[in-house]
Amino acid sequence: MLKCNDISERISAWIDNKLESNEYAELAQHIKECPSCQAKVSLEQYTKMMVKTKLPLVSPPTGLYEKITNNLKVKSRISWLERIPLLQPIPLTTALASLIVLFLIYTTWFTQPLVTDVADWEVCKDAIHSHELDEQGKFIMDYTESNPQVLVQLVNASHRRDFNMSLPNYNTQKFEIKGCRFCEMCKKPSIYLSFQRQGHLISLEMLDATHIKFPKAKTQNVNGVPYYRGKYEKDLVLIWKKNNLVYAITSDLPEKELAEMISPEMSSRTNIPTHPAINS
Amino acid sequence: MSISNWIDTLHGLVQGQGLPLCLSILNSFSATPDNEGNSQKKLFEQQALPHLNLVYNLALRYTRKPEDAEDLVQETYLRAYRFFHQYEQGTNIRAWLLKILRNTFINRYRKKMKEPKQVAFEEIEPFYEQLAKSNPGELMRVVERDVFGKMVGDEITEALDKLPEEFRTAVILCDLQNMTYEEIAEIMDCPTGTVRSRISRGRKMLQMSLLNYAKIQGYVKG
Repeated sequence: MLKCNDISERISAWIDNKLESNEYAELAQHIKECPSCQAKVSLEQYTKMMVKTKLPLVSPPTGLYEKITNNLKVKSRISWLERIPLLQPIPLTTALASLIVLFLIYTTWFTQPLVTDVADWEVCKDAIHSHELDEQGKFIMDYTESNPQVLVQLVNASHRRDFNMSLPNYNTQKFEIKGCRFCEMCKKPSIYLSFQRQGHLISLEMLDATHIKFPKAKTQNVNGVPYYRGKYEKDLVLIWKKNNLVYAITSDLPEKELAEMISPEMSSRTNIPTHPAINS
Repeated sequence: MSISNWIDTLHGLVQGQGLPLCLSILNSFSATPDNEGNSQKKLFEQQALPHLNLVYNLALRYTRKPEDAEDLVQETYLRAYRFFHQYEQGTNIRAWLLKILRNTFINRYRKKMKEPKQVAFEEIEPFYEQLAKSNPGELMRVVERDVFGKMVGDEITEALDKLPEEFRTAVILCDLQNMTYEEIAEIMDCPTGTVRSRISRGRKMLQMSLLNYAKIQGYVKG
């Protein structure tokens, strides 16, 4: 015998005609006999209809279509490599030839990753911001407040990797995990969190980036930790490196206060377990 | 073999190894200037732009402000164009576009936007359950008297805007845009079972907020 609580979720599927035939008969029997569920069904049908009829569907503003088509000529983000004029409009044949050459070089020369020399922070930063994980893979995060570590499992069509990052110790801060992206170049994830301090929203991004060459630090904080200063829109971004992790903290707090959060008390990164799938 | 296949093959071969220089050059090729670019642009315009209305309306439900929605739509189309080589011809372009819209919103906009204050559903749920259990007639009267429809102003829009994003998206796509659970699952990148529970939970939250509002206004007896 079905109970009202059991069918709560199925009422929606019933209304949308999404029930399996065996579920349908059982549910129909219950609803017939239960005035409370009958009322719930009616109210839900009614609410669905209200959304359909009362929510305004509007036409896009005039000129938006043209703005979009005009913008398509320009790329949204141009990486520094693409700004080199030589690399701009390369004929298809040259492109293919270069690809083949690069491929041959890759297969013959580089038995070891070529990462340390080429990528720098700017490139990776751009890549991080332009390639969200959702478009090319999935991530699973495991996070509890008592054990503030984030486990990211990067699942791509062709490969899968697990990363484990410890969160910095800001005493009693409550972190909210906002998301995860990964650098297209180094294929490593960055975790993006936010928390409140003195009424200010502070974003923290952590990137597992052993290969990034850190720019020459402009400033040092009180504890002597070198950091690099940048801007993201109106907010200040401070970037520093600790235990092979790159941290970027963004907020509208003044620099002095923000720099205090660059603490040498950062918990160090623990082991990075490798998923068996990579080794196989 | 087309250039994009080449790129995919090479991406596959170098995956996990970094090779940033190589990848950057490959990416710059995949933007396909010149002839291939023009036909690609035309194809993109033919396929993606007819869905502008839909994309804009969902963007508006995300941002709530027309000027922000316009920005979000423009960015969505730019990103879609950039990743158009990854779109598999013949598959559902509408779902593909809305997926990019949602990801763009979540990743870029949500942190900047002021989210409306969320309703404490745990506080108003007992009222709904109690009413359904002990006085289902009162719920029926809400329907019969078209209480929600008679509310002045934009209570329904407001109540919907206050739902957490995953529930709001599911309800809007299902109820307003008449999409199937399967298509919503594709857009939200989750199993259909999850869509089913999000729609159920989202609609319930919506009913609870509206009922709560009706109670405050004196339309419903507690």
